[in-house]
Formats: sequence, C-alpha cells, structure tokens
Amino acid sequence: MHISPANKAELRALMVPGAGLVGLGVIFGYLAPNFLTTGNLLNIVTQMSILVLVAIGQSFVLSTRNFDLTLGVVVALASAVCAIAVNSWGSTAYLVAPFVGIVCGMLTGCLVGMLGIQPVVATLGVLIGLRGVAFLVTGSGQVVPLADRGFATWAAYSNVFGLPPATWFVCGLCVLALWIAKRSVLGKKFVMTGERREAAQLVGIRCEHVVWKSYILAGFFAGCAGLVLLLRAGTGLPSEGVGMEMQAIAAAVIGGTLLSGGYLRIFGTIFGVAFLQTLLTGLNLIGTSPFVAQIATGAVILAAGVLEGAVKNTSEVGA
Amino acid sequence: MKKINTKPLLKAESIAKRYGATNALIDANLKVHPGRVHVLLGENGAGKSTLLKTLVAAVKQTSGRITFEGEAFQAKNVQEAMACGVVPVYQHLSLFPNLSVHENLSAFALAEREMQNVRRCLIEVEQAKASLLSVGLSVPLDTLVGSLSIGERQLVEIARAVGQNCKLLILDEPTSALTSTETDKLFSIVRDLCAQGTAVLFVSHKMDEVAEIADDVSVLCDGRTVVDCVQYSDTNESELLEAMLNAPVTSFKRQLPVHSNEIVLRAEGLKVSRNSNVSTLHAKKGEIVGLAGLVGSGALSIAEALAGARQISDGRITINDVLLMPGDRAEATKKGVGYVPGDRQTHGLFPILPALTNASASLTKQLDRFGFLKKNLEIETFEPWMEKLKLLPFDFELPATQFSGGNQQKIIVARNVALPHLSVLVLLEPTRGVDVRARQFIHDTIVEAAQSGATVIIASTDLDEVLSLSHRTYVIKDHCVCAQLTEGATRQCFIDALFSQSERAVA
Repeated sequence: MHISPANKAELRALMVPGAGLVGLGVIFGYLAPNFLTTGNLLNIVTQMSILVLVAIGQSFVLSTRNFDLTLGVVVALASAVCAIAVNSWGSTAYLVAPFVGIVCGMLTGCLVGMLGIQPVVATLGVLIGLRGVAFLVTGSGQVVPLADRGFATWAAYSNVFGLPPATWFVCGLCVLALWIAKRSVLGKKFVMTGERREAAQLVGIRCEHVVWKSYILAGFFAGCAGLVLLLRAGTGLPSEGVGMEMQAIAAAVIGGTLLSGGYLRIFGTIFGVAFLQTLLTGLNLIGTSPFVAQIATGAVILAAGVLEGAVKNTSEVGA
Repeated sequence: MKKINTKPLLKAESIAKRYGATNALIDANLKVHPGRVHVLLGENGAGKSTLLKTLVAAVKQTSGRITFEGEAFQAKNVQEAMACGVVPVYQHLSLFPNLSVHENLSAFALAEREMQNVRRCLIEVEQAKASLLSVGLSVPLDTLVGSLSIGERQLVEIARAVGQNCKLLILDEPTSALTSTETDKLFSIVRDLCAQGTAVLFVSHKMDEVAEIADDVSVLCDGRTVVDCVQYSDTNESELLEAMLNAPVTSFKRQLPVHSNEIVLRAEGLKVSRNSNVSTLHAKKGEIVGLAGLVGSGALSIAEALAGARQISDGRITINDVLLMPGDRAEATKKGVGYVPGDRQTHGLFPILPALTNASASLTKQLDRFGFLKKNLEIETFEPWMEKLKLLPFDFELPATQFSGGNQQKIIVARNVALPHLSVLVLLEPTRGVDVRARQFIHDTIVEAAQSGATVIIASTDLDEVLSLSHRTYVIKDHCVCAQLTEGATRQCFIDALFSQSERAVA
C-alpha cells in the first residue's frame, strides 16, 4: 500500500503519544487491576469527549500560528446560555450552544484576524469579559439546572451501540474535523497561513479571513463541548472550564502540533487528549492525590514542550 | 547570438523611488524582450531589489513609467501583477514546506476556493506533471516540499510560475543557495523557457553567471541605470564590472598612521564554510587591514568569524597568542574585540532605547555600580566620542530610531571604540547607507582608533572605502583570501587580482 509522505509524517508524529498511551496502559494495568476493563476504557472515552472538542478547536487556531485562550470560558458560557434557552423554549434550543460558540469565535477572530490585535491580548480580554457575561446571565454565577432532564439523561447516559449518544455526537464532530483538516481547502489554507503567511498572501489567500475562520471553527467546537457538558451534568455551569484552553493546547502539543503554526494534526490532538485523560483516570484509580495528578499533568506538558523543540530541530536538519 | 528584433515586453522608463530622505532609485531604465534572458547587474544597495519591487507592484514608484505589452502596467499589488503574467521567484522561497508538491503547484487555484474537497481543486495530475517536466523535475506529486533540496524547491516554484501562464519570469539572485550542478540545471531550464518565448529577468551580481546566461545586460549603480540593455556579445566582463563599481564620490587619499610590527591577530587554516578553501591572515598592532570582495564573496563572513560572531568550520584564530573561541561574542568582548555588525538595524541597535544606552550596551560591566548604571559615568565616557563623531542631533536621550542611518552608525561605532581594552576592532560595511559627511567622521574615528593602538579590520563591499583606509587589503573570493594588496592599491589592482585569480583557477 502506498502511504503518501504527508501521511507518513503524521504517522511518525503519532508515534510519541501512541507509545505513551501504550506505556500508560501497561503501567496502570499492572498497578490497578480494574484499569484495563471495558467499562473503565469506555469511561475514559466518555470523559475525554469535552476536552477533545476544545482541543480540536484549539488545533485549528494553532495551525494558523495563533491561539485562543477563550475556549474554556466559551464552553461554560455555551452550557449556561443553552440551559437557560432550553428551560424557556424546549429541547430544540440545545442548538443554541454551538451558536453561542460561533458568535464568541466571530468576536475573538475579528479582533485577532481583522484588527490584528495580538492573540494574547485579544483572547485574554475576551476571556475575562465572557466570564463576566456568563456570571451576569446566570445571576451571579449560579448553576442553571435543566427543568426537564429527560433528553439530557438519555443523551449522556443511555447506551446506543455501546456508547452514549452524546459520545457518538463527539465522534461525528471528530470525523468532521478530520475532513476539514485533511480534505478541505480551508484546512490547507490554515496550514498555508500558519506556515508562511507572506507566501500565502502572494498566491492570493486572504490570510486575515482565514485566521478569522479558524477562530469561528474553534468557537463552534467549544460551543459543542458546552453542549456535551450540559448534557452530562444536567446543569448549565457558568464557572466551569477554567484552564481547559491550556489543557487543549497541551494536548495539541503532545499530539505533534507546533505552536509555530503550519501543522494541523487532528489525530495527534485526539491522541494527546487520550493520553492526558488516561493519565488522570489512571492516577485516580490507584488512589493518587488529585494534586499529584496536577503535578504529573504539568510535567507531561513540559515534556511535550521539550519534545517540540527536539522535533523542530530534527525537521530543520532534514530540510 | 540572437538579435533583438522584437518590441520589449516590459519597459521601465526613468523610475525613481524615494523612501523618506533616501533615494533608492533615481533614474532606472529597463527593457526586457520576450524570449531573451535579461541580466540586471548591480552591487548591494544599487537599487536592484527596489526596481524589482516596482515591477511586481509591491511598491509604487515615486515617478516614472512602466509599460507591459505596450500598455501602461496597471497592477496594484503582487497578485494582480502575477495574474498579468509577471511572476517573481524570490531568494526566500514562497512555497509551503508542509504541503505536497501537487498542493504547492495548485496554490493559486486553492486560494480561490473555500469549503470544498481539496482533491477537486487541485490542478489536473497531467498538467502538474507536465509543468514539473518543463523544469526537468521528476518527483512524485505527493512528495512534501519540505523534503526537497533548496534547488528542487526553486524548480517547483518556477514550475508553478510556468503553470500560471507566466510571460515574464523574474529570478532574484536565484543561484545564491544552489550547488553548481543545480545552477547548471537551472540555467538550462531558463534557456528552454526562453526558447518557448518567455522573457526572463535575471538579477545577479556574479559575473561568471552573466557570461553563461545573459542575452542582454543592464547595470544599475547607485539608483541609476549606467548600462541600459546592451547585448552581452557587445560588451565584456571588465567593462561591466567597472560600470557596476563606479561610485560617484571619489574619496581623497588619506594619510594613514604608522603601525608597529607586532602581530596581534592571527587566523590560521580558517574555513568559514564547509566547502571553502583555507585562508591564513594576520594583522599587526595599529594596522588597518581591509577585506575586500564582491557581494557574496564571503569577506563579511570572514570578518564575522574574526570578531567571534560566527561559528567556523575549521582553523584557529588567536589574539595576542590567546585562542579566540569562535562564535562566542561575550568572550571576544572581554578580550577587547569590538564589532560593528553589517546590518545595524537587526544586529546592532536597540531601536527604542535612548542613544546613550545603545552606546553603553557593550560595557555595562565597567559602567555600573552594584548593578546600577551610573549615568554620569556613561556620559563622561561617551561625550568625547560623540563630539568627535559629530552626533546629530546631539541628544543622548533620544531613542535610536529618531537618528538618521549615519548617526545610528556613529552610535554603534562609539559603542565599540569606547571599549576599555580595545585591541581589535572589526567593522562590517561601516558606512553602508550613510551620507558622505557621516562617512567622513566614521572614517576619521576608525583611523584614530588605529592610531591609539587598536588593530582594525574593515570588511566592505565598498571598494573605495577599503582601499583608501587600509594599510593592507586581502582580496576575498569564494570565501577565502585569493590575493593581497598593499597600501595605495587602486580599483584596477583589485579587478586585476580577481581576474588573474579566476584564470588561474580555470587553468
């Protein structure tokens, strides 16, 4: 079978988180007998579904050589606003969550892409502002319980072909993300803009629009993550998602995305999230303190950063 | 030799371009004919790149007219120029290393689409293969561009231009990063394209390439066209070289101070790049030694190495018989090696810091007390130098960007001559982009530094500067020393030295 060099490069990047994942499986399988059970593995898949969406959104923005600090709060805001909407308009209002995400993405993307404000400044400003909005609409940050939990419980906890419908929904979004990254022209434009903005401009790509669209896409995925959060918790949680955008960046880096742009590796990002989630669940199962788990996560992110430098150096030598 | 029998495809007449107070172009003319290779020659700073930018509509000329295919050239930006068939291929490549060859060839098509399947937007496989074939490249279409060599990438870029219905291909110093085999290949492709009627504008400063590829030649010098579209067969190398190096300001012969015979700086078996030959050179106490070469000759690289600002492939450099760690500027500064880099904007200045801080940047050790800079000490140290250099405006608190290029250069020179144990002062292009008066003050200061016992190395592509200031000049070619000139050598001596050397290399 002929594997194209592009796919080969991506497969090579997958080897690190892949090996890490297998390693974790072996270690935790030995330490905690109930780790390698179908139930627990499915549990990990379900638990990672929110972070996976945020991380995929973040990957799009990273590929254009930007980043988005608002994604965590977008998850929270989407879940809260969506809960309010569902309580007043019924189940069709679940569609509000992705819509909230898109609106937030349009705002941030406009600031970074069109007005050219530095991503740190723009997304930090929007982050703080949106947290305020989330607290305001929920009345001083109260959680918003769903009046009718029927649909949410079915979606998040029933079993359809082995997985809850919400998890299937996340899988569908992953496929969509993969299509955009691998097959769509937009995905190529993200990479072109992130890799060599001047060259992209020379062939007629309007880079500011491309950056804008990457933020909208990230917002959409974060909004969908907010929806999954609402379904699983049965409650809109306006103060959730703190630091999630950072975990998302970490997952993408573990998966072989470079912060310097030009790489869009959705499979890698999914592997990165799986790695982080497996680490956390495993540490939890062997009874480690959650604070130790935090230290471990931090160490993994640092290791990924060191690895990024190494990967970059070797690829430059190869070029 | 083919005769010019067609109307020019592109004609630029009396182009001028002013950036603020500096004239990048004063009176540039250019005629490019279809099916011919037109070589544009000029030293760095002659205005070649500015002229190119006006041709591809990347900058708007201050005055002058450009006609393309007999009509006024209307393109407002590079994309429109490319759509008209004027396609530039730059030194810094404009391909996407993470994408495949096929995707890169289709970049123009991709730019116009959005949420569609990439495969349906790529150009036809047959067409892609044909355009690769036209540049003599046979790599699989799904190869990542990042895995190709620089030469192959350049060919992909030309293939992309050819596929874009290119009428005028502009190659901006295309061979600077190529091996000789790659260069030969590029030349044969350029000739093929010409045979099919494409006009090629080839920008270069390498004389040997001109002989090989040129149908017509123009020479640009200090913003003016001094040779306007002459058939190469009607001229010769030394004529072109003299036109290229012709500087309007003739500097007067200055009295150089006497130097001692004690050798301070020694470089033995020096190789600045892997493929260069070894150079051996030395400099005595109080001596001013020039490193002269054409652009790209490596004179600047050798000077950088001597200042400890560059890694070397091989050899050893000693200062007063103490080994200098290559590439370690901090160490070199401690040994008293001053260094004025060739590009003051990126390697020299801290643009928003005040002049005084810029000047004292390399001797904070001497000027601080318990970690605090002593301002009066700073002023005491630099005021005399600044007065000698006639810094204008004479205000140490002004940020560096507020000074003109010449005065910025004075600040950097002052920074180095004020080093406490200055033993060696290395200057690269000390007066590039500097007006005549500032040039005079900087030269005076250089001579004074030598008089007070420092060994001075001047590397410059400005021949007059090197020849008039140096006790002794090394002629640099292909990254190594090829000849030595004594005090009072003329421009002709330099040209002779270059040519006798290349003949020897051929024989």
